[in-house]
Order: sequence, then C-alpha cells, then structure tokens
Amino acid sequence: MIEVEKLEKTFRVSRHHRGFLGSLRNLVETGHDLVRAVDGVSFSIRAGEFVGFIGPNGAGKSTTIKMLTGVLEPSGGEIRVGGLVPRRDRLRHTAQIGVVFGQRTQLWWDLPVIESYTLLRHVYRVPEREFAEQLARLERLLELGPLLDVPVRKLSLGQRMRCELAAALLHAPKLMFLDEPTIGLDVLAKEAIREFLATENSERGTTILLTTHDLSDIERLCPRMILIDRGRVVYDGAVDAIRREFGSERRLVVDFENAAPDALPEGVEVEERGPARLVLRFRRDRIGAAALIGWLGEKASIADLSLEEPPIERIVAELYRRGRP
Amino acid sequence: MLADALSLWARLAGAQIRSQMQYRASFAIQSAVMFGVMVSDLAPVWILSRFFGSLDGWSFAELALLYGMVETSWASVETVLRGFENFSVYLIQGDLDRILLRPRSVILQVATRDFDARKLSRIAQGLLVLAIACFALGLDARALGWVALGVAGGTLCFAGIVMAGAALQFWTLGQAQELQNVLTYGGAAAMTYPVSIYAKWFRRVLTYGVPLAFVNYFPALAALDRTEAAGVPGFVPWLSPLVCAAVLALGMAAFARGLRRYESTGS
Amino acid sequence: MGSVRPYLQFARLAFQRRAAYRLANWTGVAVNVFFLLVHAQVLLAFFRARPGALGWSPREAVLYFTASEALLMVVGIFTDVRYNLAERIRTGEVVTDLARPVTLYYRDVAERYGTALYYLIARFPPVYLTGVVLFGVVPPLRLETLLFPLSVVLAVGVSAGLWYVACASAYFRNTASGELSALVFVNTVLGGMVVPLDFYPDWLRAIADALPFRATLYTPVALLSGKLSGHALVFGLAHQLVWLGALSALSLAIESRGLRRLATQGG
Repeated sequence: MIEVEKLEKTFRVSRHHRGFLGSLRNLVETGHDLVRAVDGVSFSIRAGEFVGFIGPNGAGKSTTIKMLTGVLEPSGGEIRVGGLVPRRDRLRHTAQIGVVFGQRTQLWWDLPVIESYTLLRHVYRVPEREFAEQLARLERLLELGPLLDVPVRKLSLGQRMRCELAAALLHAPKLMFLDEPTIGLDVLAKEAIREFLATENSERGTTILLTTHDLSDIERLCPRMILIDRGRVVYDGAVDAIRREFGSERRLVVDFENAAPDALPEGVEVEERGPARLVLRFRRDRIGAAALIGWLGEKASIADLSLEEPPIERIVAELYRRGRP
Repeated sequence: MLADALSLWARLAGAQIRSQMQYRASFAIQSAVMFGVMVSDLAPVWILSRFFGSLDGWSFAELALLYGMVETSWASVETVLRGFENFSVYLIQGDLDRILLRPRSVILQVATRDFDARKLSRIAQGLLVLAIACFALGLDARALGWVALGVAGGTLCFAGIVMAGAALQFWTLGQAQELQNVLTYGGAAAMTYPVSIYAKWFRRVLTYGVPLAFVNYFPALAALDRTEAAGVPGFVPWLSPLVCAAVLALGMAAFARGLRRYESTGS
Repeated sequence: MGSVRPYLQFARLAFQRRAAYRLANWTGVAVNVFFLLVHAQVLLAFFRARPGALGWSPREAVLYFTASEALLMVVGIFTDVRYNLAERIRTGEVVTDLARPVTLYYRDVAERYGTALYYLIARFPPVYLTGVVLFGVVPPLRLETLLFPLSVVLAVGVSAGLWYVACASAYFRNTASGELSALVFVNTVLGGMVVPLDFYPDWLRAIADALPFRATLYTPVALLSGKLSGHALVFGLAHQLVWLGALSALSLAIESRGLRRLATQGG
C-alpha cells in the first residue's frame, strides 16, 4: 500500500535578525540555514495494516505525513502510495485517501453537518447510491443521527471528531491518515473513536496510519508502530516487541511478613526500602521474575507482591533520549 | 469538464451564502452598505466635476462610464475569485494544506473559499452606474460593444492581478496582503479617472506595468470616438482583450509557480 | 472613572500591539502613498481647468490631500476592526472586560489614543514627507498651525466616539459589522477625505458642517494646510469640542443601558 524509500526533506530556513535594524536587514539579506527535517526514512506498509506513527514534536512526523498525502514534494527518495506518486498524481492520489487532522476541521463551520457531507460528495465525485450507503453505515457506527442537522460550530469536540471521521470516509478510501484524532477528548469520546477505528480496520480492511502523542491509542489499536526521531526511523516493529527489546526493566513491589532481606541477587536494584517493604527493579535478561520471587521467598516470608511491566510511555521516552547527544 | 468545475464552484459558493445567511440582519445591512459604496466612490467625482466643469475634457457622465466599467469588472472578480484576496490568511493558517488534500483544482477551491454574496450587490451597482452613464451619453451599439469588450477584458485583467497578488504571498509568507490590495483596490480607484491626467511615469505604469489602462481607458476612448483626440493610435483599443488575457495567463502562471514553491518548501 | 492608571496601560498596550508589526506599517505607508499619488494628481488635473478656484491654489489642494492621507490612520476611522467592542461582544471576550473596574468607553478611547500616537510617529511623517517631496509643496508656517495638535487630539476623540456609537448595536444584536462599514463610507464623504468640504455644493456643505464626521478629518487637515483661519477656525475647533462632548455623553449612556442588557441576557 505504502512504499517509502530513503525519503528526505530539507528546508531552507531564513536567518532572522532581531530588532528594528534587524527587521530592515531581513528585507534585503537572504541568509539561510538548511534544516534536514526528514533524513532517509524508509518503510513499507501492507494493505490492511494499522500502524502507529509516533515521535516527539519536531521529529519530522508531520513533514512525512505531508509528503505521503501529496501536500509536500520530497527533496529526495521515493514514495509510492497505492502505486501512485502522491505529489505528481495529486488528484488521483487524494481521491483514494482520507485525512483527519484533529486540530483543524474540514467541515463548513456555520453549516449543518449534513450539508458539509453533501458538498464533500460533490468534491470527491461520489455516486449518489454509494454515498447513501456509506453515510448510512457511518451514521450507524458513529451514532451521527442527532448530529447531522446541527451546525458544526455548535458541536462538542467529541461530537465534531466523530463527524470529521465520517467526512474523511465518505468516499470510502482504502487508506486513512489520522493526525491526533483523540486530542483533547474525554475518556468516553476517546473510546468511541478507538472502537470505530478498530472496526473500520478489521471489517473493511482500511489501512490506517495513526499519528498521536497518546500512546494508549497505539497500545489499544496498532499491532505495529514506527517511531521517528530527528528525521530518522528509530524503531519499526510490533508494539509488543518493543517491551521485550527495550523495555527489559521491570518493577517488583514486595511486602514481607517481617523484616525485608538485606542482600539481593546480582542485577537487582533497590528503588525503595521500607522496614517490611522492597521496591525492586531488575532486567529481564539478567534474572527472571519467577527466579527472583523464588529467591526472595527463601529469605523471608512474603505477604504480598505485584509485578509491573514498564509503561510504554517510559520505553518510548527512553528511546527518544537515546538518540540525543 | 468545464460544466463540472462550474457546478462545483456554484455548490461551494452556495455553501458560503448559506453560512452568511446565518447572520441575517447583518447580511442585509452590509448588502445595503455595499450599494452605498457607490455613493462614496462617485461623490468626490461628482462634486469636483460639478465645481470645475470637466476633468481633462471628460464630463461627469464620461467619468461615470469609466467608473462603471472598472467597478463592474473588479466586482465580478471579487465575486468569482474572492478567496484569492484572502489568500495570505490561508497560507498563514494552513488552510492551503486542506485544499491540497482534496482531489480538485486548487484554483477552484481557493476561488470559492470566502465567496461573499454581498459582492453581488457591487456588481449590480457597477452595472447600474454603467447603464445610466451609457444612457446619458446616448451610446450607440458600436460604442456599447466597446464598453462590453472593456468590461470582459477587465474581468480577465483583474483576475490575473489578484492571482499574481496571491502568488506574491508565497514569497512574502503572507505578509504582503496590503500590497495586493494596492494593485486591486488601488488600481480600481486610479482607473476611475482618465489615465491622461496622470504624470508620464504613472501613465506608463498603468499602460505597460499593470496594464489597467486597457480595462476601461482605451475601450472607453474607442466608445467615445476619442482615440485620435487623445493621441492614441487607433489599433490600441483592439489590443485590450489580448493584453487582458495575457495578464490573466501571467497571473495564473505566477500562482502555479508559487504553489510549486510552496510544495517544495512547505512555507 | 476611578484611577487613570489602567487607561494609560490600555493606551500603552494598544501602542505596542501596532508596533509589533513593523513590516505591515511600511506596506501601509506604500498604500497611503499610492492613494496620495492618485488623488493628488486628480486634484491637480481638475485645477488645470480653473486655477485659483475659491482661493485654493493647486498646491494647497495637493497639500490638503497629502495631510488627509497621512492623518487617515492617526484619527483611526479606517482602523482595523478586530479589537473593537462589537467584536469583543460577539466573541464573548467582553466578559473579562466586565470583570474589571473599567468603563469600556474610556478603555476604547484610551486604546484609540495609544494607536493614534503610534501612527503619529510611524505613519504620519513618512506619508506626509513623501507628499511634500513628490509634489514640492511646502506646508505654510502660520501661527494657527500651533493649534494643529489640539485639533488632532479632538479628532481622535470624536473618531473614538463615532466608533463606540456604531458598535453599540452589538450590545443588543451581537454584531455591528453593517453599522461599522456604514460609518466608514459616510465618514469618507462627509469627513472630506478626498475633496475639501469647500468645494461641496451648499446644501451638502451644510449637512457636513452639522454632522460630526468633519471633525475627524476635515478640520485638522484644513488647519494644517493653512486653509482654516478666523471664524472658520473657531467654528472648526468648537464643532470638534461640542461633538466630542455629545458623543462621549451618548457613549456613556449607551454603555450603562448596554451593560444592563448584557447582565440580564448573559451576553
């Protein structure tokens, strides 16, 4: 579906002088810095995949999305989406994709939702019958019924986002780009959106590329994630595997009947020590959880314990940090 | 293909009209005010012509003819291509990206983006002034033909200018909105008067630089049989449609160029 | 009214808000100069037919228009509408205003004066000097010119009052965009922006003298151009003063009624 090969994007950023004289100098002087926003990104996504595309702010995410959607021309490398070159075949390419920007609406602000949909039907040249079927389906799944006659400006954020998703799907695209679709939503609204996206992906086989800062979106929805930082891919693989590969540090909280043991096996660190309590951190590759618990059980009698996998946020934050000098 | 584009234009424009109708009272007042603009535009011309008799040999009715021609063509462009006037905003706020994400012509989408139905009343006012002026001057069919040719050419010319102005925003990062306004509103204001009254360099700018003289001045000279008296070769008014079409072509080319620049720089 | 200090603060903020957009000021200068060029040349052309009409020399006429274009932004009739009261009411921002112990009318006046000071420094000199240099017209140095600053101060006050009154319907209908555009075009004609009132037909002159609009532009501009002395000068300043008082009283009356309405309707 998507083939990206050594993708590059370099921006020329003009150097700005400050102050009054500086602003005059800016008018005549053309100093530039070259900034490499995307630096040799390669990946491929098969039809039907649901991929999380994440990275810190300024990592080159949105630049990559803009190139994938045909808004920006790459300065190097190649992109094929469904066999098309996005920028060159803009009209055909944009007809086969759906795009949602969480921060910006694609609906007509002062008009009832249904009017935006009718307009989009004409923009995308969707035949009347297909449109009716698709709208009926989306109306049911996203519970749009009571919203269709309300002007967009009067919708709540969660309601609006449901309407945005439907708007992006009216022409039944095979591929969707979602940029922060859950930003600013409450728990219930978030869950509704996630459930819909999961259905859309599993039942209709829509390929989805999801950009988000909310990693619980990714954990809930995406079997695979691509992590990008400073213009490069730093991780591309299963979301589960990232725990095994990078998140090898686990946490064990143990409460003892009596005093906690003093000595500990090799490779176990103490995060917190109370009279009858230990909070331990240990690495999966050094010692197994069962072995550690067994060892502790021999030294003292255990009253209660809990084992925590590291939250994915921490693993990802760790990965971001690794790239820094 | 063209019918398809026109129907989409009408639909998108219609959506804007319905949006504006949400604030009905304000809409009505503003339409009335737009019509009143005519009074404030023409009042100085009337006051001065009344006081001084004529302007370089042009009577008030003749000046009104010039105004009617330029106003009708500029108002038509403001109606049809309204979005190009606000283009700097789309560039700064990122609306252009959304436009590029839709499988339709960028020009078509920009054109209708801020369609303003109130501008229709400005076309009406331009036509009204034009009709009264033509009647007062007793123009015959041949002269009316020249007037129509001027208005049609003027529409192309202003379309080219407003597109070129929008193209300018690509290079100035949307900070040249006022310069765009000088070319359009300022140009229209300058053309309310015969080009002959201006200093030589200003005349040159209006003939060869931003060739607004071809919008109303030369066609009006032909309509009034004044070419010879004004020292303008007889073939010049015939060039009007050509020159105006060339301005449109240049404007579109500049816009396309700017768009390519945007796509390659993202800013 | 309470302490003067918060209002000084509003004035300072308004000044800084304008000062933040330096490039915009220079493009604005270009716009003023363009219109100056057009209208000054038009006036000169009219004067060619009747030099010395009504005791106005062509130079004085050009000087008049130069001053008018240079003062336009200072007195603020065309000031950008984004921060006006009507807009604050429409967006509901007025609630924060109401939470402060501040009279909205005085706040508007303070912001007008802050803005005026900025334009007096950044806009007036370059535009006026350009006119003086391009047309070689030297402003007359007379004793009366000393009253020019006073006249500008009064003009800004009247302009603020007119804006406030035009915005007033926003208290009751949530929008005043129609009224504001009406204010701009009525002020263009009756304020003597393009043509000195002296050239108006008697009946129109009588209307213009009675209404407040000439106080915003004609009076200071004619004064600076040396065309206001004796009785006319006394009348001009008195007219400004009387209308400033009347508009202030009207604005304060509107404010107390409008606020009561906002309080009961919840904005």
